[in-house]
Amino acid sequence: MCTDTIETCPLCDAIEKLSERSMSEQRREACHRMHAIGWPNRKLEAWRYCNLKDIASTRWHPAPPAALSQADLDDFAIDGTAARLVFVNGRFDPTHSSPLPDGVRLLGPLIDETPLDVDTPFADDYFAAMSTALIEDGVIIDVPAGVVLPGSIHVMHITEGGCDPIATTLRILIRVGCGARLGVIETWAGHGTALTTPMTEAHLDEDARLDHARLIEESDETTHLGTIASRQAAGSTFESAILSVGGRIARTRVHASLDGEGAHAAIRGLGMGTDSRHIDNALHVMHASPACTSREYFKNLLAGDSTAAFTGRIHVAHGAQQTDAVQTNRNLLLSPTAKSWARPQLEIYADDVKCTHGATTGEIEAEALFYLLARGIPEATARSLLAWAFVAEVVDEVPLPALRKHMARRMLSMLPGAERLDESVVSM
Amino acid sequence: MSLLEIKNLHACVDGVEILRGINLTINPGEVHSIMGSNGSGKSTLARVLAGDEAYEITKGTATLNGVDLLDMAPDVRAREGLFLAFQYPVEIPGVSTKYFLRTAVNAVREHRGLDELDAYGFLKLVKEKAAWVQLDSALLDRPVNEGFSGGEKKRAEVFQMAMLEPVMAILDETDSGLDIDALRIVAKGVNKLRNPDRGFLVITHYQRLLDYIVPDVVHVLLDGRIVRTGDKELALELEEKGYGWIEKETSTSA
Ligand SMILES: Nc1ncnc2c1ncn2[C@@H]1O[C@H](COP(=O)(O)OP(=O)(O)OP(=O)(O)O)[C@@H](O)[C@H]1O
Ligand SMILES: [Mg+2]
Repeated sequence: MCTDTIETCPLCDAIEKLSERSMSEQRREACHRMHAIGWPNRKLEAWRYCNLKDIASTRWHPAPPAALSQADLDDFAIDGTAARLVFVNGRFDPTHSSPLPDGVRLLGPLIDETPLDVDTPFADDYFAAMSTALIEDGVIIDVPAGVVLPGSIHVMHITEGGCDPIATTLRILIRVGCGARLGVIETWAGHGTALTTPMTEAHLDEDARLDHARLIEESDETTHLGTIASRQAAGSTFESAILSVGGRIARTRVHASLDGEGAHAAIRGLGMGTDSRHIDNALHVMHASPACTSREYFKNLLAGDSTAAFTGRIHVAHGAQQTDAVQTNRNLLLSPTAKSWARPQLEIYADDVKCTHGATTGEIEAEALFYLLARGIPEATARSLLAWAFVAEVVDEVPLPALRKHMARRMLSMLPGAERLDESVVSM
Repeated sequence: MSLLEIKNLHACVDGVEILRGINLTINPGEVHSIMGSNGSGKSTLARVLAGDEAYEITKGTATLNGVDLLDMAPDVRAREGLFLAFQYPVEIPGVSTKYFLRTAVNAVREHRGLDELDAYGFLKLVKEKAAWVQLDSALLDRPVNEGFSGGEKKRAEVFQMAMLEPVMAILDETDSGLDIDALRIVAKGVNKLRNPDRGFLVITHYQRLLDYIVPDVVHVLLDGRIVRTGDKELALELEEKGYGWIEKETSTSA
């Protein structure tokens, strides 16, 4: 079926295996789309800083059903969540999950009757198409107008790798009705060599609010290439926090569309690079209506040979007056071999617009370090304290306290020298 | 044994020699003052002693209680009891003052073989020492020096000194930016710390400070050298006549 060479289509195996099963029309269509788009190379702007060579030469297999080997999921738990839905290799695991709350359904049994990728902003994305081609299951969350769901829904995806490198995915489809309120936290973790392609789509009706987080805590052998799309009606609020602390590549592509007047989106990113990991965030914020606000705050700590890329496109459409958009990307290099790139791209077609962006890359400030040393604080402690201070403000602004605490702990657990800091460094 | 002993100290920055042979001995219990025109090298001396790696030491020695100071990393010097009140205290966004201070106090305590202070013991100490310099405790809930006024920063430096109980304290223009009341309060804080074991090196431009912190010895630093040493009367003379006459005398005698 697939006759492309390995360079252009490293997922031949995966697709062939899929084709042996009964394939729904939309999965077949997604396969064709993968072929049509072709394997992304670094000449493409969106992939310039992301080295996909290794995954191109890997023969991936669709993840088989697997049992959870790690009985203890507490390491990933967030206090105060209302429900926990566990997926293993893309499939629901009822034994480790809580009962489905009202308004929450599994996508698996409904997959053939649920239109996927309708109106997707990722029609050109190879891995988004792959996500649909590989899809086994997912979550549909539908919060009716005016309903406020207490606590967040925690979706945990655990990859159980075996001998073969596996590819797995999950779809989360969210609708928050008028004036309704919802929290959704995703955790991505697991073992073994894997390629994960999560895709979350959120529709917010008027005055709705969604607090979302994606915590990328994947194994070092996992390549994580995810997407998040949001569409917002007037007066709605979308808050999202992306934590990139795992995976050899942790890439998240976000498309946030502010469709209705006065909508607000705040997207925060926090990354900790160690070894030769790559953190990649590509955001496209679309101001389609007047008086919308958008905030993008992305900060990375980069140690070892790690790298980070940030691409931020802000599009202000004709007539989207009183747009207020802020975008910042700041990187602190903790080693001389770490690197970062930032590319802001502004396209503004309205005249009454406030649009600011800033990108910085720097090292720990010598004078601040000297001040701490001059007070007797050992150098390793002083450095980790300053590194923590650099990202603390992003953590501090995440709306959910338990999530803040978790994000802080994860960042600190990876920060070189941070074992010397005590818990109280995190202001709760 | 002398507390701080500096012999023929030379230091450069970016290839320019700033300190050109400093000799200075401070005995336990003594307060020395250094005066001197802008750019004469006062802060350089203070920072070289505290271990700022931007400066290269090309000649000379400095010892603290007989131990080679220049061989120690800056944090070790601080734990050994050297304290520098910065001329320009650094704002460090994101680092809470209390966390910073507790880490510093406990690092110093550990070095001195004392138990770590717990949260309660620490807050008790904070309360006591903040009262010495009438430091508004609300400042301690902010990040280190962030948004502090000039005077608040200087007060906070003296407060930190009181918390850390150094054996040798260098105050670099701690009086500048203080109003008259604050000057008195800060001087009182310093005087409270004076004891027979502790030494002070007070850098200032104004004789007025020395009315409150009365020095045993006054030095004049000019162009990287101590060109004159006297008692507190020397400060009065400088206040009256400026530095010109010393400069003249130095150049004629050279
Ligand atoms: N990093 C540096 N690079 C270049 N020159 C420097 C550096 N640090 C200090 N200097 C120079 O060394 C000289 C002494 O500076 P220093 O700060 O020690 O003076 P000071 O006596 O403390 O002056 P003030 O009374 O104004 O505080 C000045 O001419 C200054 O410009
Ligand atoms: Mg100075």
